[in-house]
Amino acid sequence: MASMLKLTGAQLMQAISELSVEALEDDGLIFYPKDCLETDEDRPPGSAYAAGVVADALYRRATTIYGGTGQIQRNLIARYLLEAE
Amino acid sequence: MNFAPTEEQALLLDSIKRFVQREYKDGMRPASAMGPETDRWRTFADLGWLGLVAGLDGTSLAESVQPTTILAGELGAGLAPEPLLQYAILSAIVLRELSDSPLAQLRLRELSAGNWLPLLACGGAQCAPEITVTAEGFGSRYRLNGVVRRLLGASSAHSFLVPARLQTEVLFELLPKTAGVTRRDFRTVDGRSMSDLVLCDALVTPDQLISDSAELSAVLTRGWNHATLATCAEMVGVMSRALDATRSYLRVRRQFGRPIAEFQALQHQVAEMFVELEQARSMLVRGSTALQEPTFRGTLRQIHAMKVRVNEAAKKVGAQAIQLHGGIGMTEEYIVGRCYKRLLVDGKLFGDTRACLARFISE
Repeated sequence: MASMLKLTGAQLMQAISELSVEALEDDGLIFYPKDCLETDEDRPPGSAYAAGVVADALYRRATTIYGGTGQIQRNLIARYLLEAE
Repeated sequence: MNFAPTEEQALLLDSIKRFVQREYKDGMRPASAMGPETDRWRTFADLGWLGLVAGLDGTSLAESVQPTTILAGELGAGLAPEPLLQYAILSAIVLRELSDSPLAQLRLRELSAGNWLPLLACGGAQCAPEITVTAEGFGSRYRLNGVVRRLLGASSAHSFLVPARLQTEVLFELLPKTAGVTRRDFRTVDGRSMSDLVLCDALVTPDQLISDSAELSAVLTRGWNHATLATCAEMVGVMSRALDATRSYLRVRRQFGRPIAEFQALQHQVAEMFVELEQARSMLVRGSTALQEPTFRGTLRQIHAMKVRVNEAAKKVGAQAIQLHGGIGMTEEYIVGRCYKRLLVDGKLFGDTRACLARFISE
């Protein structure tokens, strides 16, 4: 069902991005402005793959909100399960 | 146990709360300048907050624990961006405990008066103070090499207190403009100023050697433990702010014809947030006890356990605060997003969950 997919898919995306931020260790502290990898001078320290990871994880807080919140998805599933035969 | 504040603590709490309300409305964006040239830092000095751990009035380090916890917690609730913790707690304690060093005592007095910013240079994200700089004799001077990562507030420092490995462990004072010292400044995820320090054949003179005491390692650890406690207090303050915002929102926001606070699912979620916060607070109390009682055994384990529990609570409380606000929780102008980012950064400072857990197991 679409609701189950939305519910678990959103949670999974969050879990993956949270783990990515954890895996960055102290690179995860750094703010990487857009396009900062293009020039060398203003480049913040940290590995090249670190740029954008935290930004992604922050944005993904919205996956359980947009398109019907996790709470609403659970309501829809429960309604399907519990409505009178 | 009696958790009621003493009269002195209640007065301190009150004065900080009023300051925070006045200065940090809505968790405003951090200013670029934050040193003794700013009004705020001068106010910190005038109110005695920079001298809380210095013990210049005879208070013991143990006695400073409660006031610093209160200060850190309230400034956290205000999302104060100034690196007061790094200077007036971490660096101040290290200076204080090196009582045999006239230079350390001089810097401590100047720090307390708000006139000098000496910063301990140990990797900011480690769960214990790490020495990453080597020193070797070079003629009449010493040559320093190494990298110190993730120093919060380093761009404001007047000098760095650099622990280094000579034949033993020593502490030097290093001025930022010394040849061979490169400071890479950047912003943290939550908008504060942080830097990496790169030392390449930086030269210091013998009178810049603050201490070669055999106690240095223990002193650094003591400072680190207190700073970790203060960071946890700060995180509890931030979580409280996020929870309070959530409670208000739930009562005010209407959907489907009623305040959303009437929906049981949301009631349960906010209740769980509160339970997480209170558990974090309890671990904070336990860590605080560990640092106040000289007979407490297993202090390091307690500090690491505290950081782990507070980090975990912060993830849950921070995330739920956004979730319960719905779309508004994602906006840049709103407080809960800022709380989340602050908790993310503080969660990594002084040890992330994985590192603290590994240490806890090995102790």
